Amino acid sequence: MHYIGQPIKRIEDPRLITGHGTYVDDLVFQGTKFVAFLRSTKPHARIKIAKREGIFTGEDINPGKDFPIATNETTYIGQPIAAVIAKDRYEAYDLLESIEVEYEDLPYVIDPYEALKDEKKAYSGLKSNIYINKTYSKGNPEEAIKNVDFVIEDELINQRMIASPLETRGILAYFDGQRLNVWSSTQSAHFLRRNLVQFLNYSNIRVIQPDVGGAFGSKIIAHPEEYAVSKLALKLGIPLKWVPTRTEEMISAGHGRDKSMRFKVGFNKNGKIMALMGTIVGDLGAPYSDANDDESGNVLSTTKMVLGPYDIPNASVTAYAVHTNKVPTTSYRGAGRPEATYFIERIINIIANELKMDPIEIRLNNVVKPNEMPYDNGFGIVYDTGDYVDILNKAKKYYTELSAEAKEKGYCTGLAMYVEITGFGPWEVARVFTKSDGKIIAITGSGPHGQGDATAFAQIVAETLEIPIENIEVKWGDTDIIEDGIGTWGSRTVTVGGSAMLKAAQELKSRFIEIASKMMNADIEELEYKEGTITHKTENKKLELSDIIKYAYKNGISLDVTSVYAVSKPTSPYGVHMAMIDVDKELNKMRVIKYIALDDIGKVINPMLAEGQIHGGVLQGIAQALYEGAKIADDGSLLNSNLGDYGFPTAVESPEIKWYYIEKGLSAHPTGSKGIGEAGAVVSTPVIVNAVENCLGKRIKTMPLSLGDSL
Amino acid sequence: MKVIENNEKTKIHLKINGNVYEYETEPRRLLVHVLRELGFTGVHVGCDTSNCGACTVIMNGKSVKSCTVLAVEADGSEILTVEGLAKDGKLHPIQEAFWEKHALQCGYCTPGMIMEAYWLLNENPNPTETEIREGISGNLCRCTGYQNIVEAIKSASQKLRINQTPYQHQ
Repeated sequence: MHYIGQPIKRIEDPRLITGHGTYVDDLVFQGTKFVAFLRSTKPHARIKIAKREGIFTGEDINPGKDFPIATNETTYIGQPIAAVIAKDRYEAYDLLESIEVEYEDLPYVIDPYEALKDEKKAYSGLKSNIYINKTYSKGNPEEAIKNVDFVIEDELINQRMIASPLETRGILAYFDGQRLNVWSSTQSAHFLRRNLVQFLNYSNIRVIQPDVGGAFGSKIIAHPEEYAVSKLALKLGIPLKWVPTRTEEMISAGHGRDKSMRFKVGFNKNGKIMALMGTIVGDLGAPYSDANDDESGNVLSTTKMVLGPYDIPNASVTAYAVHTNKVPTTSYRGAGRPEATYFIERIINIIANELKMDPIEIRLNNVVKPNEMPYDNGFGIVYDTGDYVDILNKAKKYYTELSAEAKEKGYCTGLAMYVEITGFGPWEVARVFTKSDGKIIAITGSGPHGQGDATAFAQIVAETLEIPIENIEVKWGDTDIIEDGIGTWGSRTVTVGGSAMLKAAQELKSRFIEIASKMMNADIEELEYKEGTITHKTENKKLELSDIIKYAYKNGISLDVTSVYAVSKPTSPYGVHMAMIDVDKELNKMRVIKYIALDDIGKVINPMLAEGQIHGGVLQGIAQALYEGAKIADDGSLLNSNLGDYGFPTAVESPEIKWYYIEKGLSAHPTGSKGIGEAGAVVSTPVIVNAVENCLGKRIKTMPLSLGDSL
Repeated sequence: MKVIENNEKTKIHLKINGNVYEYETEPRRLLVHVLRELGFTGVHVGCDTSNCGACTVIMNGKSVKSCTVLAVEADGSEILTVEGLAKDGKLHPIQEAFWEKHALQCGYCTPGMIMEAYWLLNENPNPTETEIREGISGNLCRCTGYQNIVEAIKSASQKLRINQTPYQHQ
């Protein structure tokens, strides 16, 4: 029974295609009340709220502090400053209109470069707006740049994006007198539980992650509203539900990217980069620590990954993560790596155009060679396995064909390469147990929310135990059903969660064999396990799993295995993507006609699901290049706070995407796999911008391109 | 002329997936919330400006965004939601095709997307790729990149045409 590597249909689908999923807003308990939040309309101000019955302020949630709920001083438009509780959502929004707020304006800072000067503090409690300032260096770029044929200096901007999962955040919290029960649209029940335990200083908390309508990084952290609703539920003892409107979601959550790079690059006639120097500035928005911890790590990821898959001998890049009076930024699909890939792939494209070089040739002249693997990039990242030369050579065939077609039809082409870091630690948990009736239950400590990892886990368990996949039920998202867990992010779930699952399934299998050896009075070496049947190699004896399970329960032997899989370092997938696009200069319209993705993500557990991740990620990256971007006015307000104005692509804007994969660089994890959840979004943005740049013969600095700034 | 004051409720009747429901509602309440309260939680809310289509249902034969209809306006109408598509536990060909072609990930847009596809294939049993893409352009999806949804609708249109042939010749 081979399941790994097969395009197995999703076990998640039957409920979801019949409307029987259970997302957080589908849940109601008797007497559930609805919570709504009043949000700041000022980027930075002192606030006074008239306290009345039924209105809760920061004093009720976090007395004396301005986070998660602002008490005295608000630091971004959209920050929650008060909460109301009402019978239902209609009355809650009525009630919000009756709250009186007095604002006393304070100086605010929107531009991160201005914030770096520290003349105006984003929050009065800050010593400095600068949260992180770190430089990574290798070789001697100052010296090296003196001896190169060409130097280019410029700035690239990777604009603020809004993750915009189709389901917003939302929470239902209920205190039963002993225990706080929380259902949330989150990326990890366990991580949210740990956050709530710390905030509430109360450990009897159960968190459930029900079905979640996507997240793309926006639901990793515990949001201010989740802390506030949990606190109010604990205090009031009634079930409370909070679900924001889309407008609220857009003005308060899911903001990501928002980094720029000022660079100076030195290279030779053959396109070989000898020195790269630069400064990367990431806008953290307001000082909400959950978000800042998340995003400042992403700023460092951008910086550490900015050398891409290239062997750049001399480099020095400084990272700044800086506060402004905007929505606190958080992870968005790729979490820092898309910006890194964007910066270096744009720089390479700029150089290639300057030298009139083929985009594959210039990359071949710069990539890390296969004999150099594993490769330490000098900025603190080790690329583990793979063959960058080989994948570029394979890409050549596709790119040549695509370019010929483009020439014939009057279209343009562009290409970009990426190397990624995925499969982050520190650990993940899996539990596999057997019911007395033979049903196998597999539980993961991660928290899938669309990616289909449950199917991949069922494949892993079924293949390990050599039993039909239908015998396996996969569960997740309840802190009561498994010891603990980390979560789903960083393209880690199939690889790290899957390795934990593989270990647990292997251990359960060993336990079956041990029990059989006892039952048959034979040594383990004398037994053979095949498709759920254990036979004696020499004697005519055999046992079915059902016999072993019966015996185990009767004799007090547990068939419940929990494995914790510890991770020491991330693993690096890579690939080359390309696109053919139609640029109508007169109408200022751009459309991606064809997109080809070629990836090496190690062992592919389920090619159908991996391809689905590429389709979704690629379109998000295309949308960043062409359509999307948070338009923030000078006063800090978001101008495009709905799905119409924001540029969210429809089926009409999405291109035909072809996906190819090789399995050359396996990871060292038991699954052999690497992550693909973010790869599409990591690389597709520069693919598109490079294509447009090649078309226009004019350097592009900002996105989205459909706004016409670049044409 | 029947006049209902702001804070008054009125009785409405909705025929949903073949069964009649009676409901007392304020005039301001949106159909999407009433459908969800009646247990049809497959009807989702994805936005507040009528862009996303996650709330799409078939109302009197037309696909509508139920977030943009007042429940009182829908009084007396016949509504089909995704919960009403499968018959006796057998999936509708569109549902089957969504499963086979991996046309859903988080599943949140799926009910609305399937209902829009249902309407589209009723209107146009043999749509081109462009017609499919335009036909579902009122339905946003953040996960799939749409390609597999388009494939699923193509495949469903084939299945439906094959199924319908003997029926049409009767």
